[in-house]
Amino acid sequence: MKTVTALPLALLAAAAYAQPTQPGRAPVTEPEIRYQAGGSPLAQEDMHQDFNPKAPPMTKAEFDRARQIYFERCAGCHGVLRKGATGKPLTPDLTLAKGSEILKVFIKYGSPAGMPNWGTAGDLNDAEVDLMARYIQQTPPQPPEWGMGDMKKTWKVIVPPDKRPKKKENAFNTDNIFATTLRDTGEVALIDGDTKKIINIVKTGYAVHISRTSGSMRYVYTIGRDGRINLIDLWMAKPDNVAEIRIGLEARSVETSRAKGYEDKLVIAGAYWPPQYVIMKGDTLEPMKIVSTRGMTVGDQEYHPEPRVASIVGEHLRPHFIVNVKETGKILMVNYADLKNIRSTEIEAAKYLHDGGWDATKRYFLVAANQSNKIAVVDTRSDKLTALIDVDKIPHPGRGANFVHPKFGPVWATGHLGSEKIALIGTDPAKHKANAWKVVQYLDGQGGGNLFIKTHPKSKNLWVDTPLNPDPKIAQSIAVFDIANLDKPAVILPIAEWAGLGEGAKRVVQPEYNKAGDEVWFAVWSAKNHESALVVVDDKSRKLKAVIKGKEIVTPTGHFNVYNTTHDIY
Amino acid sequence: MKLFMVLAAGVVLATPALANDKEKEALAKKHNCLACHMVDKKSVGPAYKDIAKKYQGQSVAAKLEQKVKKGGQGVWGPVPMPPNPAVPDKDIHELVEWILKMG
Repeated sequence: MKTVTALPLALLAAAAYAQPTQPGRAPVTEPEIRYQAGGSPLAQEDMHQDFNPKAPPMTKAEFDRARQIYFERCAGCHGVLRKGATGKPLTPDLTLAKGSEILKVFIKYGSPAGMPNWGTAGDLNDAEVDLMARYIQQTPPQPPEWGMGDMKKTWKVIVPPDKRPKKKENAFNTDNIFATTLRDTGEVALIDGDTKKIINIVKTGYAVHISRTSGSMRYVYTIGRDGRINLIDLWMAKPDNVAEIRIGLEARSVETSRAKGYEDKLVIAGAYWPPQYVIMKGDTLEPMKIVSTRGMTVGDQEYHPEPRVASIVGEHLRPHFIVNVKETGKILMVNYADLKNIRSTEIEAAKYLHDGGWDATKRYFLVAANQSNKIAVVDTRSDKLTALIDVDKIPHPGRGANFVHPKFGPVWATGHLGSEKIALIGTDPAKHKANAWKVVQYLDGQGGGNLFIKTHPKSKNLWVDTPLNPDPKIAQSIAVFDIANLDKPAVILPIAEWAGLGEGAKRVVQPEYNKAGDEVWFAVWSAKNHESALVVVDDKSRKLKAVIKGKEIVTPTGHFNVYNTTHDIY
Repeated sequence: MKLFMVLAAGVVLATPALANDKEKEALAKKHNCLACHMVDKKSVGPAYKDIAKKYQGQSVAAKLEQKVKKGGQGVWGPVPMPPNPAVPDKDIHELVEWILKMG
């Protein structure tokens, strides 16, 4: 709880720093810190430790306290094993050479390269700064592995398949249900998209990162940061959990088999720790196959002990999952037709792979390599890298947005965490060859800190959020572009104001369309102790249509419409 | 690799001042000075060029050598300079001399 409230303070303080860079390293922007930081569930795990005799001594109690602080505040950027990612590596060979005094300066005062000033921001006192300086000179403790035995122990089938409804037992238009993440309560709200009423609040893992739906649109899969997956059956009179499992100690992604003949059959989840993915049965979550992602990095080809699994998407045309591995910078094209003899093509892309989505034809998959400031494009017909496209600072597409540009033809769009730019990339090598796999235009959004961008085949609007922007005015509003006239500046809509809430951060996040494509939903996200809401906007008129609020809507951070999720419409 | 570095050093030796800079920069790196300082840009600590500018024409070498050794705070803002008891006096002397000449 303390972490949640203390974090924004540190982030605001970090913003006070100027921009100079250290040699060979891009500065970390404030939205990036906001994005990477945040508690890791690993803070709660027991870990083995051998004390490093060269490091300053620590008691067991000190070590445990420091370890908890490390996983609450530092691991997001510096990595579980401190090999470095957004932040610098902090392995003992490097930290011992610096010594406690220098380390303390960095921890207390931060650095222009992006290290937050934990001391002067008031998050860590001098004793804690000293504790952390000693801790990072110790050998990084390794969290436990999580294999089949651990998974099976957490696996529960609450309602077995033969006890479930044989046909839909409710009157809801289940295709138009929204699964809304209630971050801090560890729940998902199922909301009827037609009536805007809450159908059920379902217990899930903590801070559900994504909800995906099965090919038949019957099942919803959610994954919490803590690696817990829940399977929700939308056919029940009151849709609820029918199975659950914990697939790792920290995780971000889940996806289902979408190819013809494989609908509802399999589900895959990717873990941050241990670095692995697991394939399960679609109707029970029974774990079948675990594959480690540890291995060599792209380019320098050095061993990496914790290549985290970022986004996973299921191909619609072939029985394949596309697994994006962050630290190694590799895209794995995993054929799930034969789990005993699994075939996986490893495509070299760039570091560090993050999120992405399909082009309009669903032949090409585009994924952000966010520390390289590139978008990698994969052709699923040849399993080859089609292009690596330079974009602006720290692209974060979510799924991206597809539309036909009046001048350049079909494009896919991404926003950026690190800048206000929106990159439009040509995606039609057949009919618009000159524009294909190039940034054909940059649009100017409101600012950095963008997470999601969205349009719909039936819409002429392109919606761009900026929830992680340090300026509350920008974080609380949405930019909307007219696709027919992209040279016109965006119109800014004060979505948070429309929600009619009291005090709070009120960050506006994740535009999501309803099934018909005529409404856009936004989450207005405030801290747990403040009121939040969902705001529904009429797409055509861009006017307020409905506000959904109430005591159940706690920390909503996004939502997934069943129909659009199943068919990857964006 | 080693051969390459020798060759590279040979090229640099053509201009003696540059060779000296490389040598001193390596010394600064060895003693972790460059974790916080850069030659011409402010980082966690002040840029070396700014230090040289500030003290131009003053005989402050002895004072600055003590600061490097024992640490200091306040001249360049709140971020302190940590003490460096392990760095040999001779190296501190050489480094301070090098920095002050940048002005």
